[in-house]
Amino acid sequence: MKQGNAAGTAGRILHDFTMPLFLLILFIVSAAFVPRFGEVGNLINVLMQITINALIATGMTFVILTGGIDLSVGSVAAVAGIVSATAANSAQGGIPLNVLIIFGTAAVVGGVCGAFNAFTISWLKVPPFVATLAMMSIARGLAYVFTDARPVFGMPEAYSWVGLGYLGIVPVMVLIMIVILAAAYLVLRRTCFGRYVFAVGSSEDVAQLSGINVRKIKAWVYILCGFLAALAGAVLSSRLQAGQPAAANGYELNAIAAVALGGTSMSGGRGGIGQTIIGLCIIGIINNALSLLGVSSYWQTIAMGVIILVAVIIDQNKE
Amino acid sequence: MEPIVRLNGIGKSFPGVRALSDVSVDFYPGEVHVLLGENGAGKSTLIKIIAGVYQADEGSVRVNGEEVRFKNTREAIAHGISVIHQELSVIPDLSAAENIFLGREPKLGRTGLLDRKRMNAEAQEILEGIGVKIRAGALIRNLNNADRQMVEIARAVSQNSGMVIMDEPTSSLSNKEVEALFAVIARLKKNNVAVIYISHRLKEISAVGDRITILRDGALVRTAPLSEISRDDMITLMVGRKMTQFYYRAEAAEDEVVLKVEHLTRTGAFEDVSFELKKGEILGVAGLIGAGRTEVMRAVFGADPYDAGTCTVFGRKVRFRSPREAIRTGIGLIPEDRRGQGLLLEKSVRENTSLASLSENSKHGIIDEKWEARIAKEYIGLLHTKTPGDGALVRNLSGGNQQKVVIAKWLAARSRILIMDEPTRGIDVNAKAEIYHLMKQFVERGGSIVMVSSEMPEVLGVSNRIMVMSEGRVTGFLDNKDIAEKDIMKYASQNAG
Repeated sequence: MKQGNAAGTAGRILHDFTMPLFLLILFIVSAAFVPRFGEVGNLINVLMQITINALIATGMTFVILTGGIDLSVGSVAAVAGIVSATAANSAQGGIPLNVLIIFGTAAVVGGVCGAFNAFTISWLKVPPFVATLAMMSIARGLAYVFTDARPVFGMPEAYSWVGLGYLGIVPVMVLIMIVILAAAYLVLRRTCFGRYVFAVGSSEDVAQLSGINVRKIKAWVYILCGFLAALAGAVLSSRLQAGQPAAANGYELNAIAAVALGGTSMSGGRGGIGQTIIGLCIIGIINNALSLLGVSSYWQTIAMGVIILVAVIIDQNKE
Repeated sequence: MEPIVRLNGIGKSFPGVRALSDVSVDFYPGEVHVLLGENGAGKSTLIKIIAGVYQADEGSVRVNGEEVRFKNTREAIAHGISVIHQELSVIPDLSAAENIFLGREPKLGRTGLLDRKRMNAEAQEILEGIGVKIRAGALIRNLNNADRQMVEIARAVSQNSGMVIMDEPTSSLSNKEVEALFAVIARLKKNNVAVIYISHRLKEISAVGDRITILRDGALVRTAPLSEISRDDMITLMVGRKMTQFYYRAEAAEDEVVLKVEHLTRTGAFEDVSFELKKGEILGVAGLIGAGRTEVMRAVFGADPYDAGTCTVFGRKVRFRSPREAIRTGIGLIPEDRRGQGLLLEKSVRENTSLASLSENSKHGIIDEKWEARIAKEYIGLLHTKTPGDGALVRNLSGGNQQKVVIAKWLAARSRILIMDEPTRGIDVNAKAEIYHLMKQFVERGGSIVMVSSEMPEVLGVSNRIMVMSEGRVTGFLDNKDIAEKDIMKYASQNAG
């Protein structure tokens, strides 16, 4: 009996910590065998490289926790990048104005696209996969129509502060990511809205019969996801100093990969921002380490797919 | 006579729990063998060992004299052992015949193409063989629960099963359907099939069983012919003590009407339903499955719409557009499907307890965690919920304790009217008594309850008044003084026309 209990406890620990353990081992191995990986400058680099994905994946976490999916995030990001770059072009302002433009664009573009998704999903009852697939196509098309397929250039120097600037040794972009992740963590753990997101994902029937406005919760989740995707797009345009209609292509898959890799259930109800952070770090470290080792980006893509599969298989079969 | 299945000294442990110890039973062909025990007594573990889901740690299983050790359910089926589960496992979008032959479809020669004609003909033969009137080509989706179960039984028969295990087969059947099931069981007996029958309903057990094995805390208490054991003995043996008072009936209701429903109608579901609920009253709602009782209650609660009629709650005319509005007015609904609609199974006792009252007890949308932990612990204490703690997942609690968590949710939300739909379904005897006791406490403190129930002894034992429904209409009201089951049955089977 005692042995059984010990095995049970060990199993539970393994159960909860498989992915963090995987991340830890990955980090140690990379630090030991990949030259320059452990340097502070490189680690900050890793954080910069995951920032865009982190912003999108944060919104995606909310959506997936309700049992939904948002495939339109990459396209929405592209539209936001173009709108933000265009606005900065005509304003030609200083740093504060440009920061305002980036966040304002995120709110407007993300809000509109997210609200449209929310409307089709919550009110017209279109399945999220289909509704956001349609939005993915519509938004990408709009990005090309707005720009005539030409990138937007000519923003003032100050526009790049968000994407390339530093506060001390910390990149501004990384700071934004940390604030967003922390806020999302608190919202999910400590607010009624966060609790309801989990409840809706666990069982819509139970949530409904317990007096939760399921439709409203689902609507807000897509609006939030749209906002964060648009914010990622605007920040990306600041970093690249260009608003490109083809930007952020396929980013929805990176975000979904980070969420799934962390261990958030794709059918909703279980998981969280903590898990997504783990997923983001695993992807970031693998990409960075392979780059430092001189592995071509084509091979990196293959390696990424294999590692996601292996990690999730381990996660599923732990007992 | 040789037993089909002989269990000898079966023992099984899970981490931290000894589920079975030293259980020896023989199951004979042509006999219905009842397994009785409270939830957690080891019934499910025992049948799972016979069916190859689990492997015994100790002891041996013999099938037709040969010692076996099934690694999976497929091996058990190959040895002629089939299980009809509580949750039916037929595929809705396939026909009855396709379900019966799933995985063993007859083929046209060696082409690998389906021989549909032969499959349908053989399936029809099997269905008729057990005395069921279902078309072999009918889609499962279009069949009711009772017929779906018959298809499962037909599948078991077609696999030449020497033993059919039925786990709570009547939990979603109406009385008439239960009779049909018993007729099928009689046929199985005649064909020399051994039936293991698990149920909590003592009356049914006496009607259908030949032999009974009673389990308690993983150990065998007694195996005997059913004729030698009375119902009182069954309860005593099962719980290990005499249950003197099984039901609690609230004394008298006050005159104040808290809920008044008039002429409520939804076309196709229920028509012209009117009733009053008084303060301190338990109103029983009896009727057969499909009488429209659940539909009426969901409409009153705002979960489903209605076409005509009015509801008055605490003297105020209301028309709830969502459960949220009903909850704010002081109504709580305890749904029939506890696991699917009552509880977030993967969440903790604490989160489930606070779910319906979270926003009212939060400031600026931020959860008051101290309040949440306090009420969760408070109701665990008040309702005597058996749980390792307020952080334990609801999934891991027994049925009775899960139901207590649902009740705690509405007490926390300060509900004054509870609509309870089949409040003790699938709950063992001891826990049932506790739930009745909680209902009594609730009405004594000024609450009121509408209880929908298909269990006649429960309706008679708990309600102050009884409303009977049939085919979407109210067919009678009975003051619960000296009525008998047959009076209710008369109204319940009445053609509403």
